[in-house]
Amino acid sequence: MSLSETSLFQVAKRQYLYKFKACSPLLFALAVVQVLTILTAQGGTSSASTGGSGITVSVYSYSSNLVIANTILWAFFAGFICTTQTTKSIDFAYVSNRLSSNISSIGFLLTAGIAGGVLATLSGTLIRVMVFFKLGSKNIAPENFFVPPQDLLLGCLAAILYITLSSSIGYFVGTLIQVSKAFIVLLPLFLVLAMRLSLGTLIDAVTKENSLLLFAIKVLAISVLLVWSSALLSNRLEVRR
Amino acid sequence: MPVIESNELTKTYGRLPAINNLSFNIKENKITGLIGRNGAGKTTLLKTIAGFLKPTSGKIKVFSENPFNSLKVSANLIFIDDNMNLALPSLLRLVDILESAGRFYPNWDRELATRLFDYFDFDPRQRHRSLSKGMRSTFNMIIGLSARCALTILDEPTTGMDAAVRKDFYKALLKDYIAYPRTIIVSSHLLSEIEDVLEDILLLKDGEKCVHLPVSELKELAVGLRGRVNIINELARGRQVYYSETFGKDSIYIVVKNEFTEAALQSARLAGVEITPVAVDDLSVYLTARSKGGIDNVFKRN
Repeated sequence: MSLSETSLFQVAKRQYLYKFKACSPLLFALAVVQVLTILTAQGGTSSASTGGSGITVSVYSYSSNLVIANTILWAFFAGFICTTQTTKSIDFAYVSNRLSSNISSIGFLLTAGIAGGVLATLSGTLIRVMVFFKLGSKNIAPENFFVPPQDLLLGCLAAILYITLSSSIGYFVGTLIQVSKAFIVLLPLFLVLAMRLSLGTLIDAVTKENSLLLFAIKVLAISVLLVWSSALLSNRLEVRR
Repeated sequence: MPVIESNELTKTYGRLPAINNLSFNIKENKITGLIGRNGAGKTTLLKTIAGFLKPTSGKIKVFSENPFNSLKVSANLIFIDDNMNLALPSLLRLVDILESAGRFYPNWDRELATRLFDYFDFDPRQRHRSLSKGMRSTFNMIIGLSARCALTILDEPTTGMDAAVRKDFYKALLKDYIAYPRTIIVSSHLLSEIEDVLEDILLLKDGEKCVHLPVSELKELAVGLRGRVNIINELARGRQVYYSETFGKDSIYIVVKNEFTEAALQSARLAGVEITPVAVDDLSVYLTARSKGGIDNVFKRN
């Protein structure tokens, strides 16, 4: 029987498309997280009450922040789960090598992250509409009720960047644990140590950036670094199934 | 050109060796049976060939390439084992699985897959995890055959299958092999059932190669002698005895390497020795036995 030739790109592309079916539970989890968060956001994401002489004033604010935050959390777990033996063995059921498996996972996470980021940002509008129907126009402060499209777009981009960063951190952490189970203990230790050494300022330096372009460059650079080291580390890993 | 070349291949888990210094070649378009006791290293060897595991030392080449991380090897190889249910997503229905497998393998025979699927009465909407053990093995076999890879590896393919399905499976394997010759490795415990399908047998013992021979030669390798102890001992002197079992006070049965001349056998026959051929599966049990006498020795307490 003659041997068939194939290219890395072709295999990675097939795996990428296959992942949307095979890893659909992850997408389902994203939907559940977002819907539940949108529903809980109906109670207001923050509230303040003042009262006196028989009158109480309660101010509730509604926003998509919680939805975005939960999506970022989801991205971390999705990145992590993509590195587990279960997910890897799904790739290795058919044609695969470690590089193609990494490329397709990253492609999948990126696509799901972009969709998640856009939906999470747009959920702000959905929440406003739902609140409008619940409370009526009289009880709503008009400031910031309408979000200009350019703000929405900016929000989308920022959310996507945070989500990408989060999923690449999850992917890196997952890979480390696959390399050695010792990291299950070492990573929390490292985290505590980092807190002590006030590495928080370093995190702030990345995340608290006023220029979107600079922020994007920083986030993408870090993500690429994390994902690239993950690919290098996992290139030696065995598949157990 | 050999499809698989293994040269002093060793694979250890921690300090435990699973494969030890294993050298062998498997030629193109042969059906080889990989036979061995539990823990002999069959699965480890197959997973190393498939590129899942990395050899600790020594070399393994599949299609002249190191299989670890080779796309060329992966594209031309399918590895079917019991654990497919871990590798197949739980949410996919059986039809979806067949369709997705078909996308990955260029030689995928869709018609064969469908025909086998219907023959074995699978419900397309069923999920892999809800199948019984035997049904699961049958379904995995459909994937393995339909993928029509130049190297097809079936690790314990008949686990849980009932006798009728097993027979169908061997027939299907043979028919498809004749129509599309390719290299096939089957690991199994049930050598008696599968020996008619096999051309070569690679027998492993404790991670080492015990025998690698065509089935026809393995059938001739040993001969069974039964008779009185003193005559048999005389015959066996200086020869390799694979197995011996005593009956009563004065009768003994031994399996010994067949290096007798026809004349020697004839004179033995005249001396009252019963000479019988040894079945391949019995011989493989004797060859891989850890101590002579087998389980009977455990119950012999004096």
